[in-house]
Amino acid sequence: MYSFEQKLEFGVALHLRLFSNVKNTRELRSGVMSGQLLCALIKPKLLVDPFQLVIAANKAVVRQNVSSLVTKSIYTEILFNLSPSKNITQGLTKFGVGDDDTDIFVLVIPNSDEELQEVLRQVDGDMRPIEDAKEMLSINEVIKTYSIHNDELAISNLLDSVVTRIAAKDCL
Amino acid sequence: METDITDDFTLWKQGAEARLFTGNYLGKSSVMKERFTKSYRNSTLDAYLTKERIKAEAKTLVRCRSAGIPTPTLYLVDFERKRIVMENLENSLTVKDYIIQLSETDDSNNNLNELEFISQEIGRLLGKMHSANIIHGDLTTSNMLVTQDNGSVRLHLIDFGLSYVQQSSEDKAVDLYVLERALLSTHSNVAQMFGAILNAYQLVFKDKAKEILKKLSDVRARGRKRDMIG
Repeated sequence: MYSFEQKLEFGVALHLRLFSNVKNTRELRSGVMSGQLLCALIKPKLLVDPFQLVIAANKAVVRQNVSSLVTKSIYTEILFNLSPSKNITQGLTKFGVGDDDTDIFVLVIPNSDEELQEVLRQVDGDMRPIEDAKEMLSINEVIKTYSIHNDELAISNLLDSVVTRIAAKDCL
Repeated sequence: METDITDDFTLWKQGAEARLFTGNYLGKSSVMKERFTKSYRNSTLDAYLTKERIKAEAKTLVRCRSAGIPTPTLYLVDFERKRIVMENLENSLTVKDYIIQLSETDDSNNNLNELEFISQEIGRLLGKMHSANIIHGDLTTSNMLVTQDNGSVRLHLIDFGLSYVQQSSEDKAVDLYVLERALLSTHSNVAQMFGAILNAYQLVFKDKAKEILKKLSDVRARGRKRDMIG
């Protein structure tokens, strides 16, 4: 399965693609930062399952609907939501790709199919099945990042633990 | 405005503080708990209390998991619409209904075993919860869910809107007292359950359990409130 799509609240749709061997990460990043390229570029290393992105993105959509985003755009908000830290910069660097990254999740919440295709066209890399992200995942890093201990893993799967923390972040 | 994703949710339970709806949310079978405005309350106070309870609920869900207590997975906290959306524990039964179901079946030997087992589980989880200094605030047999999958019974705690963190034995004793009262009022035939709960509670919560049980007898003598006021 090369594409993942999920309907979020307010009729918004999330689209996800996975790329490897991306050669123009630096250009993509500067495009995103200047607002020219409308997407989020996410490191697969800390993603247990696409549902983790669904929860973070849906939360961003719900907040945007009442104009209460913490960060500048829906895409930075998604990276911020993924992070257990309340420090914005830390969230963006931990979950967003760096210039040297070659494995990238591209997350788009497009207004039209053309918009989605336009974003994907910019990526110079090999599209991979979404399931391949499992090979790029570091479970130990996830456990460390979200501070999940063995007592919890005895009663919960990792995804549920992560997702609950993302949803509850501003209550903690 | 687009249609609400929860439009096709169906009302499941109506409580004093909130309505529970079930439906599909982001591809998962979910429960939505929506708190409503209490018109008799000052509106600023009402908004404040509602927000605090939503916060307490989400916070304690995470705290309980960290302490190894099964709770539903959380999907969304929405202060604006006064909701939380969480996992629907499919095929679950409240401990209340579970006990009623047991008392209606004939196999009395087996029933005693099951009651004993569920009591131990309750005691074990509450011991863990109180060791983590989590006070539930509304412990009843309706706020505990039993799931059974391939023969293994698992207990989950829910409904943390009145929960908070507190070290004191007093608050823990009151928590237990509220449960004792709830057990006695809804399940008159299972008065012995509470003893089994306390035994298991003491086993997991060794160091402070004695002190809490001593407090419990004080609380029994005087009732839930310490002061004459309020």
